[in-house]
Order: sequence, then C-alpha cells, then structure tokens
Amino acid sequence: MANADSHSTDALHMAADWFVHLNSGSADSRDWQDFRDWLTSDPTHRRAWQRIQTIQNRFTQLPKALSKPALDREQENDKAGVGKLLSLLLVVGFALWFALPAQFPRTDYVTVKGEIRTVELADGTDLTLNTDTNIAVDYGLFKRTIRLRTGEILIETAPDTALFKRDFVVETPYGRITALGTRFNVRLLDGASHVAVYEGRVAIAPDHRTDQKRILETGESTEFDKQRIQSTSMASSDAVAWTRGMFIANDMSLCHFVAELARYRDGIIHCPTRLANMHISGAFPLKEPERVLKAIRLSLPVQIETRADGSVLLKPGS
Amino acid sequence: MAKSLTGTTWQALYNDHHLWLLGWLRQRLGCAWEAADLTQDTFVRVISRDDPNQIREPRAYLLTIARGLLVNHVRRKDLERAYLDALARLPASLAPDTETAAIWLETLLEIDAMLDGLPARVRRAFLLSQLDGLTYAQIAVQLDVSVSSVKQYMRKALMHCLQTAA
Repeated sequence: MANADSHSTDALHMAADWFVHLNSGSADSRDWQDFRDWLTSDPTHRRAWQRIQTIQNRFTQLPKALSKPALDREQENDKAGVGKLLSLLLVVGFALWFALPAQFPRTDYVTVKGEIRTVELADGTDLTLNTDTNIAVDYGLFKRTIRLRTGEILIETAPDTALFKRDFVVETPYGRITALGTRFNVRLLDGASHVAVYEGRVAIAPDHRTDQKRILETGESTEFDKQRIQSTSMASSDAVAWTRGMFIANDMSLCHFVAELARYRDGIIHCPTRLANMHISGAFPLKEPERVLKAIRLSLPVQIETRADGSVLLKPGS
Repeated sequence: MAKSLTGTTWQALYNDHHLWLLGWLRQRLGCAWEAADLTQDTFVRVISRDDPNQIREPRAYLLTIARGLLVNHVRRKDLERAYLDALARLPASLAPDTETAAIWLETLLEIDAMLDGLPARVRRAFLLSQLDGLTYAQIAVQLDVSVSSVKQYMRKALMHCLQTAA
C-alpha cells in the first residue's frame, strides 16, 4: 500500500515536470511525443495527468475578460499612477471594445489509446477527440485556433457570438482548414491531413502553396499535404461512427481493417499482404479491440497469434 | 428534561459570548446582517470541530475562528466586486445570463481559493501562463526574473493547487 502511494506520488511529480515543460513555450513535437510515451506507459501516469488537467481546466471555464481583472487585481492596485491614463484609454477604446470577442486561455487536450472524449469549449463549440489525439485550443482576439498535433477530431462549431466574427481554424502539420459554420472531421494520416465535411463548408490551404485553395462543401472529403490537395470524394458518415464508440466496415480489406483497429489498442497488429484480399463488414465496438479480434477469427479463415508484448500476428488458417 | 453535559456547555458558550462576538464583527464589517451571519458561522465551526470542555479561553478562541472567517469573507467580497466590475464592462454581445454569471463567479471563487497562500510573484507567474498563455521567456521579462525562476514558480504554484484543490 505504501508502495502504491509512493508510486502515485512519483507519478504526480513527473506529471508536474511535464506540465512545467509543456507550458514553457519551448516544447517541440519531439517533447510531445516523449510526453505521449510517458503518458501511455503507465495508468498511474494517466491518473496523475488527469489531476493536473482538472486544475488547468478551471482556468478555461470563464472568459479572460472576467478572470483576468478579478484574479490579477492585486497587481492592478500597484499601478495607481497609471490609472488615470488607463481610464482615458478605456473611454477611447470603449467603442472598439464593444466589438471584441471573448478570449480564453490556451489549453491542451490529450486522449490516450482507446479513449474517446468530447469537450465543450467556452463558445459552445463541441470537440470530440478520437483515440491517441493531442490538440491545443487557442481562442485569441482575431482567431479561434485548434492545433491538431496527432490523431483525429470531429468539430461542431458554434457561431461566434461577438459582433466581430473570428475565423475558426484547424492547423495541421500540412496546412490549415478554415471552418465556415460547420461540423467536420480532421484526421492526421502519415504525411497528410484528411478532412470530411458533414455540415456547412470549410476552406483548405496547404502550408507551402498559397495558390492551392479549395472550398469543401457538405458531404465532401479530401486529403492534402503541404504541397497539394487531392481530388474531392464523398464524406462517409461511417467514418465518424467513432464518435459513438463504433467502427463500421463495409467490405473493407482485412489489413486495412486491423490497421484501423490498431489505433485503439496498444501493440502492433501484423497483417501479411496475402491476407489483404480478405474482406470484412460489420459494426465493431472500439472500446473492446480484443473482442473484435475474436470476431475476426470466428468469421474469417485466419488464425490470430497474440504475443507477450501485446503484438498480434494474423495468419491464414481454417 | 435532562440536558447532556455537552449541550449545556455549548449553550453556555453561545449565551455568554455570542452578543459580544456579534458586536466585534459588526464593528469591523459595518453591516449587522453580515455580522450576524459570520457570528453563526463561527459557532457552527466551533461546534463541529471541538470539545467545549477543552476550550480554556473561549473569547480568544472564538476570535481566532471569527478572524479567519472575516478574512475569507472580505476576500470573497473583493473578488465579487472585481468580478461584477469586469462583468459590467463586458461587451453586450458577451453578457452572460444570470445563471452563467453565477457559475462563473463560483468558478472564480474556486480558483481564488486554490491559489490562496501563494506568494504574489508565484501567483502572477502562474496566471500569466495559464490565463494569458505567455511563454516562460515572456513571463521572465514581465516579472524581471530568470526563466529558471519562472519554472520554479510554475512548479510551486501547480503543487500548491494540487494540494488545495484535492
């Protein structure tokens, strides 16, 4: 018992170190990767991090325009001399101020493998984070930005209530997607971002080519990297079944299927190419990848070998 | 109609001192209603916490508790006032409904209680990071300290919050 306690205390101290580092402004993608590895390596780490997130979340629950003057008020008293000038500026700036939107502190949200979570942002926008996802939410004066570092999110934007409308932008490593009042899904693939629009429209802009821009309408989807946008295809509603904890396959290649499954489960799943021409259909629970593997074994002529490290090998069988 | 010994003692404690405490609080608050509330709160605190037979100096003891409550009360009022000021200055398009305004105030009080007891500099560094999203380099410039001090402040503030928010 004492051991378990000291273990979780250690985890809390490590989590605090991560918190201090990730908030510094100098953490890079390598650090985030290390953090993710740390987070997933032990459930105790996850619990420790959740405690820290609870603290952080409190700050994001009310607009900065309120929390800032109320909590930082001691500081304001120090500046008595500046007071007069400030109130003068206040009068001048008042008309402008009326048009300004609410700013909220920047926050990071992280899910681990197998976790699916919905967060409601301060302006009413709903974000659903799929497995193994890492985002930063930054509501600034002129822009509402979601930075997708890893994983997948479904976004349902709320209209900006301020008179002065801010853009809603998802930044990915390959380029940005600007929402035009909408519900859409963004997923990071190896080397590209995938976007599907379910309501409204979005504008896509790859990072390195300003001339390459495209508007995606309801029901459309596409992929893009830093250089170019692929041709537009249909957005399948099955593709966002993950928000309800399900995965839907329609005559999907077995290897493609297990690659999707592997996103929700620790450990690699090997699928030899000679199994690629087997196909599978159905609705599967994402929370129980082991049951899904069992279902594969029962419905297809394959054998499934699970190794001690959690990795799985699929083999042809009867 | 036999009263328990404890009951009698509590009664005696209340009878002997509550008017005196009320007077003391009213002088400091300048408001009879608030003073009465805090007087009741003080006695409730005492009853739920201690064995009356152990109290040697009842008035000194009551004052210790009342002072603590008074400080919290005044802090809360200051915070509420600052909040209402900020609320009044909010653009009309952002003005929350009454319920949201009340929830926001509660959240604010929670955050304030969580930060209570931190040195001013540490508190400020933490707020600049968590509310303004400044980098440590920027905070270091604002507070005129080194980046490594900012790191220490951040860790200290976080550990403090984890303790007080538990």
